[in-house]
Amino acid sequence: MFNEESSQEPKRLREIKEDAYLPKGLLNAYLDDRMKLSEKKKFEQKLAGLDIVQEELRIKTQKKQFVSELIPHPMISKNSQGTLKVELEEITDSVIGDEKKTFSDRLVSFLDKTILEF
Amino acid sequence: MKKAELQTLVNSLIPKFYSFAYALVPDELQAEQMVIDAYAVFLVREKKFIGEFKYKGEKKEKSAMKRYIMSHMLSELYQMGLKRASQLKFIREKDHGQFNSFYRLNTAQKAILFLKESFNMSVEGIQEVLGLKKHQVVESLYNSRELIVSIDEQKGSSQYV
Repeated sequence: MFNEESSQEPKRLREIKEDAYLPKGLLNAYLDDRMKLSEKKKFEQKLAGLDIVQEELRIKTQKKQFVSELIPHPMISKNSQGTLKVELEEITDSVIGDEKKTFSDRLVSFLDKTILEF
Repeated sequence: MKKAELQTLVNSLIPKFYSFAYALVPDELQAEQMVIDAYAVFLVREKKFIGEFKYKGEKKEKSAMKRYIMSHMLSELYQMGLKRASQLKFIREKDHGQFNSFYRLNTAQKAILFLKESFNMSVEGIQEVLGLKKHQVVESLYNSRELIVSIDEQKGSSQYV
């Protein structure tokens, strides 16, 4: 039922292909810094022998830097941060309300009310 | 989860909420207002879950909750950005210097490009925030990058070759 040889073939082919070129996904992962240190080292070793891929990586890096320069990276001012902190705290208070009261708190609140309020 | 614990987490995320809001609507007051409104909507919607979340202060729980708040808040901000973009057209038409080409993009393009390039978010993360399919995010990301470069080239200030 299960042919061991044919199941090995794709893996072997994959290994041959991986030695011959670097997939685009790996290039992007390297550019985005999404690789583990060990993967990064392995990638750089492979890259050293592939001139075409090095050129592709150079162009991609240049484009990424250029696009990044066109995108704003707004920083919050201290004033805005202070305002937002206060405002969000008020929202938390009003939406979540008071947390569970202890038995004594509830007793005090009960005793504080007149019979009409109750 | 207690109110104080939630507030501490939220406070640490304020700079990110603000910068995303500002990227969508480049005006200090409008961005602040958007963060306030988005937080109110988020909290009303997720009140029950947050109340029931058992938080013992462990690192893993803390980062999970942070991710949860971040993702939902960015999503709310994006929805608000979509609605307010047409009302705040005058802001879009202002001069934003070197970022003019970015602010000429539509809200979805701005959001995708900003989340990817500024927050370094994964495609899966962006999918979660914008409620899009993977191929839509990848396609839009590619188109936005090409568009921002071509708008900049039209202005004649492009240094990219």
